[in-house]
Amino acid sequence: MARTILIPLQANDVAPRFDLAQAVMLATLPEEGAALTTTLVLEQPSADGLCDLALSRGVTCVVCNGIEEEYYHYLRWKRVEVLDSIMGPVDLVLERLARGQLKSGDILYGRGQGAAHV
Amino acid sequence: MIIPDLPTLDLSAPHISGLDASSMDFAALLDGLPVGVVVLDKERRILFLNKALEALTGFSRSEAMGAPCGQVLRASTCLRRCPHLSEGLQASVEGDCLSRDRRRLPVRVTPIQVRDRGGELLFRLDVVEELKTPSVGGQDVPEIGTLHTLVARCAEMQRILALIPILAQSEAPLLITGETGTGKDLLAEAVHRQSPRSRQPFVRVSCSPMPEALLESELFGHVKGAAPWAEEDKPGKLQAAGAGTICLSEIADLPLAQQARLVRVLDERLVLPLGGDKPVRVNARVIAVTGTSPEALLASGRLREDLFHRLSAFRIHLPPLRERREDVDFLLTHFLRAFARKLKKNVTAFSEEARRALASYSFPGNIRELKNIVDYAVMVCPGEAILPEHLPAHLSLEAGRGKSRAKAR
Repeated sequence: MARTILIPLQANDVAPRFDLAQAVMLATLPEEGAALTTTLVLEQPSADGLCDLALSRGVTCVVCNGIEEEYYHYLRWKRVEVLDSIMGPVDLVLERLARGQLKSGDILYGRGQGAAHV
Repeated sequence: MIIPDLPTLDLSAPHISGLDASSMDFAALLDGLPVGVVVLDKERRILFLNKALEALTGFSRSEAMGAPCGQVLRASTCLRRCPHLSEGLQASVEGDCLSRDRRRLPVRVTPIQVRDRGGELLFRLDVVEELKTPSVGGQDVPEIGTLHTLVARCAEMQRILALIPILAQSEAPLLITGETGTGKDLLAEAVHRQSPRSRQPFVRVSCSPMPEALLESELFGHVKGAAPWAEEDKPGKLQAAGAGTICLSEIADLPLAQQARLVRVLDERLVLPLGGDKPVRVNARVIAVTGTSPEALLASGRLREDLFHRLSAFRIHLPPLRERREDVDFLLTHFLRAFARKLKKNVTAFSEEARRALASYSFPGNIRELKNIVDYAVMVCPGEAILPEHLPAHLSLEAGRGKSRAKAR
């Protein structure tokens, strides 16, 4: 089944903070084939706004870096999977997500110990 | 730590020279500071985090190395406008950052650029200080309507809150007990914040079940090669806490072998990293937290008696909400204000019916559950007053069952 992913963006990377992201990528990951992506520019950064967006668009997984506990638990409560503390370029994130190899805490910049192999 | 490409500096004033002499341990110097420091390259990628900043952010220096500063620090001020790009460098900026354990922490960031005599930028530093709640006469001012402070009205909790400054002055271990959601972690943090160690790190460790070697490494650190995943030396949380406080959550989940090692740490103040042969001195104060009665744990053999006696130099029990019903009303109002402010909603009160439903609910999840219920209600409520239909369904069902039982009688 196709999955819908929401990724807060800062340029081409995952945004450092969920609540301060100015843009967001919505990606549909089919079981096979390439991801379909749409980028939305937000009127203003807002964690509440992003939660509403995720729920209204039927998002199944949020991939983000920093997120406050309350929003994390709210999304989990709404049965949205949350992978947080993810750092790196969004194309690498999508690639690893499609392969089922992305987990919370992955750093995809490639130099630190926490860096996943890219 | 070796900062690459630092030229040898001479002694002529006004430049400080010799700082990069090979014998100088720059990392130890930064690790000794009570404030967070991050060393950045010219592109603002991380070269080094000191221990205080590791504890504040929750990221180890090896994980963070090479990542852009903003991704790891996640400070609001840095993301709105990087202080290194601002005019008038070295002016501090205040904001908040998000730690790895998803807490919002108020911080002050001071950017520093280190240049050679020719004005060439060598590297950048950010000094990051965690800002405490403003204090008056040494006592934290209770913030009205905030979400992360310990608040209560009942006599028993007032007695406990009054004890905090006294407990904070001690170096002895502290054992905090209480059911889930009663505020054990908040109490531990409050004790740290009022202690002379407050400028040092406060490090939380969950002793929840995980492979023993991994837990040992998490607590005591490891040396390179000690395990297949130990690719380099890594200090444990006890070392990361430095001269601060380490809070061990769910101490009863700690395997007995690690409990024995902890006894030794408490006695000798020395830890032996996994696979290492050189003990490392630790100065952190230990606060242990458990949701289960220590006596029951002792009886079932899950807690070593020698560890229990060492940890319970001071012991505080936080009562569940059902034993302090007089706090329910106060806490409902407190969290209503806090969430209304946070969610920017004009919700100002509970209707009488909603308040009655809440007053008759048992709150098995204690204050955490009460807080979540108010969070939900404020979010769902479109008007000014929270009605019963704005409360979570399980609560309405319980209220309904209560009414049926009353009618049947």
